[in-house]
Amino acid sequence: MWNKLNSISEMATYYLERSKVIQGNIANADTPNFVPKDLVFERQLTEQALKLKKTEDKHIDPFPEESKEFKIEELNKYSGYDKNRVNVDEELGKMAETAVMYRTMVQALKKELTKMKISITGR
Amino acid sequence: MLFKGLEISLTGMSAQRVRTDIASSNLANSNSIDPQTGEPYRRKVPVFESVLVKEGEREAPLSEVRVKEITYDDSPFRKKYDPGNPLADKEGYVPLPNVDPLKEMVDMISAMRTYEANLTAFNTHKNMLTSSLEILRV
Repeated sequence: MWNKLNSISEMATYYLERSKVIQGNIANADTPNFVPKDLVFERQLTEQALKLKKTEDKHIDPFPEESKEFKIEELNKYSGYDKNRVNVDEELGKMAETAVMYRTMVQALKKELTKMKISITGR
Repeated sequence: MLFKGLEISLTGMSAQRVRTDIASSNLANSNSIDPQTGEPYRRKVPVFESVLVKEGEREAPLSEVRVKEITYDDSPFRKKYDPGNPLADKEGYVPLPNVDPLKEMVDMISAMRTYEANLTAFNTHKNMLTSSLEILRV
């Protein structure tokens, strides 16, 4: 029952953290030698919600490599005259995307809670 | 650490503000000469550096920005032929600051755009934080 809520809030946390990383990139748009970073989310959902049940040892795990951690990845291989690799437009685009996804997660969470409320109160 | 994201964008904004301040100082002094030494004004350049912030147990190295130092532009001074000037050398040339108004204007516009980018990121993050309050309204 709580799995869904947990995975949704986990995703929301991811988007909030990612937004901070992107903000760091934008803030450092004029720092020499700065390499922009991104937060990569790797199959967090498979852990709780989407994992298939194994009833026999011979069953193959569809998602063999799982990592619970968010991973920081360095981006962009090209650089400008001061060895800064930040592309502000790209970062702003990612920021907007992250915000929309975060909102989606919040709405989903709200929906789940509303459903629970309905099942408790009956209306 | 809830408002760390906002702080990061704020450091970016204040760094860009320093940059515009220095650009306008350069512009304002584009013809200044120090009366004591007779040396012309030297163009100033801000240098930024990123500062890593670790957030609690979760390893998410976030980077703030700060002004590392304000250096001086070593390029040669402009020279103007003005024999009547008391500061003129033997050939009649007066040294003037190595400030190029065009460069400063471009620098200022660039700083302004980056400032706006930081402001946009700040507002987006703020809206995200505000939208999470909707969960309370279930």
